[in-house]
Amino acid sequence: MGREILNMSRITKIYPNGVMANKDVSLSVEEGEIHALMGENGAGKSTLMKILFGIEAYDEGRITFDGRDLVHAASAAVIKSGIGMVHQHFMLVDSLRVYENIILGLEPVKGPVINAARAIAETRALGERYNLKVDPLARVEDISVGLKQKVELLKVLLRGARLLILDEPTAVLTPQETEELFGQLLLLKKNNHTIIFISHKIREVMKICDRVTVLRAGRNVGALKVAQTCPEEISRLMVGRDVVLKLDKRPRREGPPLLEARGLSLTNRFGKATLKKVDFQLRSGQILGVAGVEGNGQNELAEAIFGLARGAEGQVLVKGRDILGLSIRRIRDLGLSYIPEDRLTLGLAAAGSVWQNLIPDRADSPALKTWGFLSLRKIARHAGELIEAFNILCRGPDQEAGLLSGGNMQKVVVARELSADPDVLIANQPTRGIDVGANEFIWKKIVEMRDAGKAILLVSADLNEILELSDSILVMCEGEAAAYFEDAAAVTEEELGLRMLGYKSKEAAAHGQK
Amino acid sequence: MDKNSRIRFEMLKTALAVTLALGLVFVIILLVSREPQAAIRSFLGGPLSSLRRFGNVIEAMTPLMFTGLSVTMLYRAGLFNLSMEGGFFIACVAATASAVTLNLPAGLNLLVALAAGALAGGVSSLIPGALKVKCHANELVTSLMLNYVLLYLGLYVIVNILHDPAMSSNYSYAFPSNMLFPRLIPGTRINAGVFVALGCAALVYVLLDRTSFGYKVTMIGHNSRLAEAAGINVGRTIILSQLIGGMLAGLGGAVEMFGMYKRFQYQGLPGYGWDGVLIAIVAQFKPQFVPLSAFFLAYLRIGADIMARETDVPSEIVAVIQAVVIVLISAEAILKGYQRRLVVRQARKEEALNG
Ligand SMILES: Nc1ncnc2c1ncn2[C@@H]1O[C@H](COP(=O)(O)OP(=O)(O)OP(=O)(O)O)[C@@H](O)[C@H]1O
Ligand SMILES: [Mg+2]
Repeated sequence: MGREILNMSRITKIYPNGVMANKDVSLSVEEGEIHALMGENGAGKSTLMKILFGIEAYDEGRITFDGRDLVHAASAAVIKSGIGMVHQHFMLVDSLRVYENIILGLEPVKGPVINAARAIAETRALGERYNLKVDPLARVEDISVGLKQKVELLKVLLRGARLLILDEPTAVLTPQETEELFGQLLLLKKNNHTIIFISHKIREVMKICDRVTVLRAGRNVGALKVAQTCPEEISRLMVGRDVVLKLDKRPRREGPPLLEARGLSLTNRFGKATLKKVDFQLRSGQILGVAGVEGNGQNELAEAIFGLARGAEGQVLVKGRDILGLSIRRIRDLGLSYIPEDRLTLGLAAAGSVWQNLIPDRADSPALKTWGFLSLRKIARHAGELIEAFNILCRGPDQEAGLLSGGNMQKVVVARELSADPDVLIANQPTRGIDVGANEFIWKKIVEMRDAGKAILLVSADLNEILELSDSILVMCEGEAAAYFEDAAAVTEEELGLRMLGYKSKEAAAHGQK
Repeated sequence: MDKNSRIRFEMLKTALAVTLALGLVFVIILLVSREPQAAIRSFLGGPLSSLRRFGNVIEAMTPLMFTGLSVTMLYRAGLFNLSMEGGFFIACVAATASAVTLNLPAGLNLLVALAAGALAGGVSSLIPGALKVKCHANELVTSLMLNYVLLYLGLYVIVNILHDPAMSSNYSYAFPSNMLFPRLIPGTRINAGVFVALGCAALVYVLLDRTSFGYKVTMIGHNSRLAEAAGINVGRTIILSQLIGGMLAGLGGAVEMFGMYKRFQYQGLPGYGWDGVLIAIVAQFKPQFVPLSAFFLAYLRIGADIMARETDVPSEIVAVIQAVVIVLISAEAILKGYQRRLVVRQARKEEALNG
């Protein structure tokens, strides 16, 4: 360590819509370090990395990597010089197999045909070497997010990257997967790879990073050695104030059950049972956290309840009425709303404007109309209020939603679903990719809803979130409700983790019995 | 860039594309013609040289507006298909059938025939839309296949049922004369049809941009899965949008029949559906620009026709010219650099103001 391998100096970037995403930003990274890049949503982290990777042009500044100038180099040249990037929103071809994705563009050929056997072997070997095991023959659409991440990493490593850019890699991972990823990153570091690591979770940064550069509103506000700083200092730099992700929750005052699942089962299109006779009850004034290792039925549970998964069996009772098989319109009219797991498929229309994305569930509402016609004035006012209340960083309601930063896209979705004022909120990873300040805000909102007597089903991969927010916890394992804790405060993270892995108790885990 | 400067920029871009296209057209004319000056003069000035010729432009513009609007509507929901081509044609047949077989009183007969045309057109687009929603059949394929069915079905009806034996070709019986749209300007065939088209443009604008139905159609076109999760009835909205889109093409066919002809006399698909796609692209899929875009294409066509008649430039060149203009207008890259400089300058100014 010690030798500077990357230097980005005084980078300024203005997007075609006039957003100044980076202003005189500098970044210096040493060889063999894990360097964190932090900042609020829209601070310009992804932009800076896209510039480095050669997929966004910049207006001013210079970049040197490993002693060589990378001035306005194209992505192909950047990759060649040894830089690889795993994007915030994955870039994989879903219909192709894992090994096909990994070799895309570098296919080993035998005459005019791709040498598949060699490609598969290479994928395996690489996976062994970096402890990134994935089945090369699986189709990307069938594998979990955690595995997709590994595929992305392998893709980058196969191209000989010595500097890896990871844009919010942990946002989509479970704690176990995050641990695993950290192990792999440390292994890479030991092999003298350099890593730029973007995350909103200060804990993670404190844990594995050597230094941290903080951006705010497109500018540098600091570069610190992690060993010589504390979480408070980082959050103060990022947000300009102290953010403590701790909640003061009032004791719960529960009312009648609002949502109840009875024997809820689901079989996916491959014939696999993803939900097996799940029962639970959610009462007014209660936050029920759903925990589990990714792919154990939590997402399916949320989608089945909201009518997004076809063919669910059993009963889902809302205020005593079975909603299974009802249209989503009816379900919403009964007072449910839904924050989907993946903002880009179910949450947002990237080609639409911000205001268009804020009203799809209420387009028929008389509050947005005058004489039966949509009133652009009323809509603009409504959208403006939500933008303000949820602090969505954009150039106004007319901006294209696809051009927002990842966290601000998420805020659009959350703003819409919370402002629908539901009785039952199904929140599937509500704070994914959101900065600490906004995270605090959304938590507060959810708790406010609870105190107002609403019911919240919180699905989250973030154990900390589950433990902080939930009144009660349901653990999913292999499609079953593996455990239920009436009082979340009495559960430890360790116990939860064991239950997620399918162990019945601590003693059973010690003996390896499930 | 704010809204105003963006609109100004778009206009500048279109103007530049047209200028470039015309420049290229002149080069082509210079290459193929021995009397280039005369050719250019009749191409550009021809349509304005007499009332009758200008009338031709307005007449040609009417069906183009209808199919342009039809495409705008059909594509808003994200269903790229060509059902308006067959829909336009079969609507002409349906309107003819209604006109020559039903013996209705004046006024009512026209209304019924227009409705018959709109209905026939609507059904032609409804079918691919419904197949898409119910069976996930690709709408482009089904609409293309359906167009053949409609073409031969239509010709069958004309030849076997509506054919006027007094005529040598496959012409239908003549329409009752009290059904024809009144000609508005003596010396031209300009008729009330053009106002019907303009009215439709206004209606489509309101429907798409000012009603929740139009908003839903737009969102489905953007991301149908989001629309579904938000509680929009995606299937029904798509089907309705296709029905309305098809009805616009159908109404266009019927209006064309009673505005321009005395009897049905098409021998094949007239091609207005394809033109509609061009018009909609140039209008950037915004109904309010469709009339302008249709006028532009009609002007090009009539100008080129006149040039072909009066000089040695073959009329096929028209097709080349059309292609050049469309490509240039839809080209995103024109003025990119200029736009960038504009944006950067503005962003810096804002930056300076905000400190
Ligand atoms: N393609 C684009 N066109 C226009 N503006 C953009 C584009 N991409 C990003 N922006 C804007 O640039 C700013 C910085 O975005 P960026 O994606 O770099 O943020 P970020 O720091 O990665 O945030 P997050 O934590 O939410 O991912 C934001 O205001 C965003 O709206
Ligand atoms: Mg980002």
